[in-house]
Amino acid sequence: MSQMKGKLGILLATSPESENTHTVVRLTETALTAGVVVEMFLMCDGVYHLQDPRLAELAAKGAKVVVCAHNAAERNVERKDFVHWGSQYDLALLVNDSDRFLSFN
Amino acid sequence: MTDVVVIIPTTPFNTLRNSEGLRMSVGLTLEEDNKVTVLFIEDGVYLLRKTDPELIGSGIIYKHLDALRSLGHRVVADKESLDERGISELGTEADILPRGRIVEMLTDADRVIPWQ
Repeated sequence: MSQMKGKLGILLATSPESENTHTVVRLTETALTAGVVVEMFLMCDGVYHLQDPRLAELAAKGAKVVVCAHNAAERNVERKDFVHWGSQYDLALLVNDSDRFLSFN
Repeated sequence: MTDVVVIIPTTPFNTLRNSEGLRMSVGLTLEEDNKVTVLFIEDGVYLLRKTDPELIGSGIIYKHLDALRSLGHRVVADKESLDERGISELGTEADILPRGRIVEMLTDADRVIPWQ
């Protein structure tokens, strides 16, 4: 088993049409393969990624996915099993405790 | 202490994006160890003018800025951006810093979140 090498925090606030999606998916795959802990926070139109099967796959591989429940409720996005239904408090914690933090918005 | 800077560089007219960025900034203060600074730069400085958020379709602005300040966090405006746009009067409180100080602030920050 590979050694964990820190934690990568990712904020994704753009819709799935954005080029950010592909970047985040590939980056997360690579980080997980390298043994990095990845936690992703989805807000604004980023909550539509709950409908993207690639995110469920990333979660199955070990990425933690947290969504801003407020934004998801505003957009009537259905809850999924692989995500934590969270709040801005989760983002505040992630920004604080990740070793690297990347923002895609 | 984690020093977090949120950069707002875009105009507030007809978009809720900036309001959401400010809501996020207030949310970041929920972790007591985070010290949050919101930086208004380029067209983002228009947010600091006295406006009627309802008329310009900007969503909630001043409530978030007031919350940040009352919680002891910082609101900063880039002087060069204000000067370029001929803005001399602000509708809300902000520390106006020259570009050199802004660069230092960003370089020293632990986290920088550009909010487009």
